[in-house]
Amino acid sequence: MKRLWHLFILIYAAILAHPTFAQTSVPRPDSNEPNTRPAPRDAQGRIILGTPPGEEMGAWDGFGTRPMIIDYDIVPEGSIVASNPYDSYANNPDRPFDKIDLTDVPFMPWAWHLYQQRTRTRFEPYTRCKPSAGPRSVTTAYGTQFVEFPEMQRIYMFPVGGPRHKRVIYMDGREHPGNLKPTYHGHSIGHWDGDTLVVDTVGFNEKMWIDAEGTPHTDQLHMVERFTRETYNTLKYEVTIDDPGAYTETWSSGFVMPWRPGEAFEFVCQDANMAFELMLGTEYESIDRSHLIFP
Amino acid sequence: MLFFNVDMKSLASYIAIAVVFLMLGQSVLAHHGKSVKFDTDQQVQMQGRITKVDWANPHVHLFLIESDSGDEWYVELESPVILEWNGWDESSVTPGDLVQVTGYPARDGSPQVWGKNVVLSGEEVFTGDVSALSLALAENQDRPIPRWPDGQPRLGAAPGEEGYWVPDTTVMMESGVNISMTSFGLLDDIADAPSVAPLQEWALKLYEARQQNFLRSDPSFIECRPPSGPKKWQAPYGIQLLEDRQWQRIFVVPGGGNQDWHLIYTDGRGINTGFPVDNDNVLYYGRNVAEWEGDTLVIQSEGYNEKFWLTGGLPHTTQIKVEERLTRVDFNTMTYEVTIDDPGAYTRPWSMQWNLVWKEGGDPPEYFCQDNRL
Repeated sequence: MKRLWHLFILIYAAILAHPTFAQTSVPRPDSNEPNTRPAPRDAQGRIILGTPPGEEMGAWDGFGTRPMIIDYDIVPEGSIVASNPYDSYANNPDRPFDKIDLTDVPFMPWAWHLYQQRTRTRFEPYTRCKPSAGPRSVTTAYGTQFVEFPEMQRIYMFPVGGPRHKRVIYMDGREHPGNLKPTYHGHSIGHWDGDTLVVDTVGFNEKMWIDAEGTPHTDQLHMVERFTRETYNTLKYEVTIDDPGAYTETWSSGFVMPWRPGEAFEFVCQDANMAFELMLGTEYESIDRSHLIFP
Repeated sequence: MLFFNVDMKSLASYIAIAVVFLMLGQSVLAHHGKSVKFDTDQQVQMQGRITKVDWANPHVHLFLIESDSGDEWYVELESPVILEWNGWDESSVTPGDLVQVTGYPARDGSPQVWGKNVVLSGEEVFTGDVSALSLALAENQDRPIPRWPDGQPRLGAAPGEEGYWVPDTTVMMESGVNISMTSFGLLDDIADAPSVAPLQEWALKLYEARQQNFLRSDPSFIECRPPSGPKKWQAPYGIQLLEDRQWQRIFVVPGGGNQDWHLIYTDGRGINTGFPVDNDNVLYYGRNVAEWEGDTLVIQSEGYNEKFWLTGGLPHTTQIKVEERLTRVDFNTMTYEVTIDDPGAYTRPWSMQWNLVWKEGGDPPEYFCQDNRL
C-alpha cells in the first residue's frame, strides 16, 4: 500500500506541476531507486521496455519532462518547467539528452506564427480528450505502460491518463501501407537498433497535436522516435520531425522519462479524475486542496 | 407513435435541446443510432445538387441544395468506417453532383435527412448495409480453435495472424424474451418495456423514460463515456482482447466509443484484493477478475458506478454484479453469456447470451467518439 501512496503523491505532484495549478509548489520525488540500476534484459539479452518479470508493475512518466522545445519566454517561470527537474536539466551542461532550443527549430513562417498562437491559447485537443501522437502520446498524465505481446510481434503503449488511447507498434517487419488514410496515431513500425527501439511513423492527420505546446505539423509528417532504456529508471526519448509541410528542414529533440512504479488504474478523461484517494485521501492533510483537480 | 406519449412540456424541452445541438453544430452529437435523431417511420425523397461532402466522424454529411425549393439540406450518412467498409470514399460524390436521396426526416423538423440511400446517375452510391458483422460472417474458416501451447484457447489471433471480435447482437433483453426493437435497443412498442428484463418498478419507469426520450441522453453517446458492462461486448466496431500472459491480465479494447481500455486480471486475485478501489469508489469498468473453467473464461466483475446505461437504457445500480462467460466454440465464434445480479434495480438475477464473431485480419478501425469538431 505504501507504494500506492507514493504513486498518488506523484500523481498529485504532476497535477500541481501543471501550469494551471503551479501556484502550489510540491516537490516531485524521483523514483526510489538510484539511476545506476541497469536496464532489464530478457533471456536473449534484449532490453525490456516495460516491467520485467518479478518486478513491480510500472510505467514511463514523461509528464514532467516535457516540453521538447526549450523556451523560457513562452513557457515562463511558475509553469510546469519551473516546478520540475526540467529547469536543472536544461541548464546542466552534462544533461543526458538534447532538447532543441526554440530558435533552432526550422519553422516555416506559417508554422512559427501558429506555434506562437497555440502556446498563447493552449487550446490543446488533449484537454478535450482527443488523442495525440509522438512526444505528446508518451507524456500523458500518470505515465504510459509499454507492453510487449511477443506472439503478436507488437508493442503496445497504454497511457494511464489523458484520452487513454492505446498505440500500436508493429514489430513484424512489415512496411507502411501505400494508401494510408490519415489517423491520429498514424502507422508505426518498429525495429531494434542495438539497445534502442526505433519507431517510424507516417500517415498522421492534422487534428492532433504532437506536444502540449502545439508544435505544428502537417499530414506530410514523418516521425522517427528512438526509445532507449538507459537505466532501469530512465528512458531516453528522442524524436526526429521530418515534415516538409511545416519545417524547412528535419529537426530533432527529446527528453528523459522516469520510471514510476504502480499498476494502471481506471481513468476516464470524459468523466473526471479518478485518482479518488488522491483527491479524498486523509494521509496528506497538508496538500493544498484550494484548487480544482484538472481532468 | 412514441411521440404521443410525450407531454408538451417535455416536447418543448426536446425542441430546446435540439436547438442547442443545432447551434453547436455537430460537436455534441457523437456517434448515434439514427432513430434517435430521425423518424424512421417516415420517409422522404428529394433531389439536389451537392455543395459539400463532409467526410468526418461520427457521421458523414452531404450538403445539398434541394432542386425544387432551393433550400439547403443536410444528408446524414453512416460513419466513415462503415462507408469505407462498403467500398466508398470521400470522392464517391463530389460538389456539383446531382443526387437523389431517399431517407428519414429529422424528428425536430430541421432540414436534415438520414440518407437511406443516395443515387448518383442511376447508381447507388451510399447505403449503410455492410457492417463489421456481415464482413465477419462472410468469412467461413473451417479451422480448429487456436490455442496457446498450454492448450488454453486463444482469445485473440493465432501467431502471425490478426483479427478481432464483432457482436451479432446490439440489443439487450432477457434470454427467452422476443421483443421487437431497433438495432440499438429502442423498443418498437413501449408497452413491451416490462418484459425486457425483470425490472423493479422504479427501474421500469426510468427505462421507459429513457426509451421515450429515444435514448438521446445515453452518456456513452452524448458525452463519449465508456460503453461499459455488457455493452462493451456490443461495440459496433468490435472488441479486441489482448492477452498479456506474462502478467496474467487481459487488456480489453473496445472498438469505437472513446477507446478507453481496461484490465481483467487472471492472476487469481480476489475481486476485493489487489485493486486500489473498493465498493465506495466505483468505476465505469468496475473490478474485473477471471479464471478458466475448461475452455470457458469466467469473468466476475463488480464495483460499477451508475453513470453509464446498459444497452437500450436499462438501468442498474452500484449493487450490480456481472458474471460473463466467454467460450470460443469454434474458430469463428465465441459465445458470450452474461448474468446480471443487481438487487437494486431488478427483482432477480437475469441472463442473456449472444455470439462474438471473429473478424479475420487487421484491427478495429481507428475511431474515436470524441473525434468531433471542436
